[in-house]
Amino acid sequence: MGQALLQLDSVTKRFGGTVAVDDVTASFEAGVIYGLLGPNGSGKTTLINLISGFYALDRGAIVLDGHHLERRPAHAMASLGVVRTFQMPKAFGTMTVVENLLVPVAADHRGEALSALRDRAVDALARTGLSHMAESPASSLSGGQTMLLQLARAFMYEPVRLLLLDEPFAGVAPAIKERMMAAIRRLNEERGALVLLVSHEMVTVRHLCSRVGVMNAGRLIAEGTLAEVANRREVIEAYLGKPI
Amino acid sequence: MSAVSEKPMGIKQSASTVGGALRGQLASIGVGLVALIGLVALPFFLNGYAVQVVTIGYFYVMLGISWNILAGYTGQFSLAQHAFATIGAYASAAVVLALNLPLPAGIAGAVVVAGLIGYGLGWATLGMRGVYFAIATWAFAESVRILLAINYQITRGDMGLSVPYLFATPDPTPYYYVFLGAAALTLLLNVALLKMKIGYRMRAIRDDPELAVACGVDVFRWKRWVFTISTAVAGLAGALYGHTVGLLSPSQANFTQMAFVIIAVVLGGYRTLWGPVVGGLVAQGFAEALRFSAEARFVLFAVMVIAIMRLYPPGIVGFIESVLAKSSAGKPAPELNGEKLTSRGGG
Repeated sequence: MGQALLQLDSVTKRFGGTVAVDDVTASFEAGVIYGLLGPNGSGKTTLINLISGFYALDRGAIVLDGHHLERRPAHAMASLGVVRTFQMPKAFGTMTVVENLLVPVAADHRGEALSALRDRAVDALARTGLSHMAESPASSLSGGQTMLLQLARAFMYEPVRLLLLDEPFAGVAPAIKERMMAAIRRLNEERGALVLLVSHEMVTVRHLCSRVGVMNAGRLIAEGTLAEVANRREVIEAYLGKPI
Repeated sequence: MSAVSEKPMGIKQSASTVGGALRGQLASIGVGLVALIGLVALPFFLNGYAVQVVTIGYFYVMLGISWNILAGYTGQFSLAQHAFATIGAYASAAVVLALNLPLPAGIAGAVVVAGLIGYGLGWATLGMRGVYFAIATWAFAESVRILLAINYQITRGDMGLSVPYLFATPDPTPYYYVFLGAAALTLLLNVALLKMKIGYRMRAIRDDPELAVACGVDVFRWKRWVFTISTAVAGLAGALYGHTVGLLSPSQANFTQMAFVIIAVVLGGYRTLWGPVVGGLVAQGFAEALRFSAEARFVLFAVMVIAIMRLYPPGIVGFIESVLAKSSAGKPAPELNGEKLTSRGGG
């Protein structure tokens, strides 16, 4: 076991009387693609929102590479190398595709000049197969292409410590799904990013993830390799329905 | 024309695309130079009354650009731009009359006071979204108007407060050049903002604040700074206006003034660089031509805005661009940066 890059300690989030994330404790090593599974409403997206600072914790601690994240505002996560995508395809619609990639570097007013970063944007588009759309308005992209653009954005960060992907493959055409998987692998292997992948697609999870965790009713009920957790009774009852 | 504003940076382009872009930029610079020479020469061809009308048109150009920076490019639909112009006018008057400082100090003071109040109002209101922010700024503007009216011991209320003129001459020409220069500087400020990193932040905030946050944009901070810049420019415009007309009154903070700014920007081209310039001058021309109808002209303006928003959101500038595009390359008529106002709203 390597050293944990991300540690969750008793992470809890309530919405009124509903406990969306209930006392989750886990640690994640650098360079791992970790699948987060579970039925709808089990707290996966809430956990992503807590780690990325979009929600405030009610209790617990989140530590990334020695930095406590629980009191950091969401906009300050990017400077730590925390990159996230959203369930719904999101892009800055009135900007061109390449301009979309310059927003993360434009957000840092002390960083490099925009003109110096165009090559990196060109490279990011090439890695995701979007070069031909570079000067098109992002609003003209399909849903799948927009998800690819969200991934391309991750290549603009230096470093990329943690990539939080919230159901990126939902409703995406198979050809684009392949490109997305290749991009995720590159970010993981070449940039050493820890990837937390929320997905219901078991085939994709099997291809990408070396470890998985299963959530149910806000709790992390199982952890291990997919083969290990898939045969556990509580996982079958809560999520899978039958062994896979 | 607005392509300059919406594409500050680009990807590596093919030689033909670069050549086309270069030709486009040269054409824009050429058109701009010809227009500037024409505007500089204009007072030689107009009578004094017409020069005054155009001068006030530049005042609305400044307000229009400053509002478009905030509402058009950053998506913050403020309804207080006219109030900040009024604040600027009274602040300059206070500096000049109460502190006995020279006019330039008064004008500088107006910029600072309007900017500071804008920063404070932004801090209080920019956490609100959409219509709540608009209502809050409208309430602020009304409060400014009422405060100026009821504190007549200081402001002389609706009787009006006499302030020194910029120049000791009844000739409107010097005022024309001051406003032309100020409007040109405001336009250059707009261009500079869009070319800098802050321009990306502004457009990101407008398009999707949640995604902007995920990209690392401190949305509240940059909305506040843009609000401050926008209100400081409005303060400058108001101060210059005050020292041009020589008489201040709370009626300058009437909502019809704000409506006129919105009308001008929508008429010219919302979210375009040149829209407020064209719209400010054309709307001012219409307003003067329809002066005989008094306040009823605003009804006509309202109908025009509804018609433009409904039928042709890109406005006059968008129309000119579409004609130029069709004649040169057979490109389709532009929508408002790829979206229709009728479907996604104006920020």
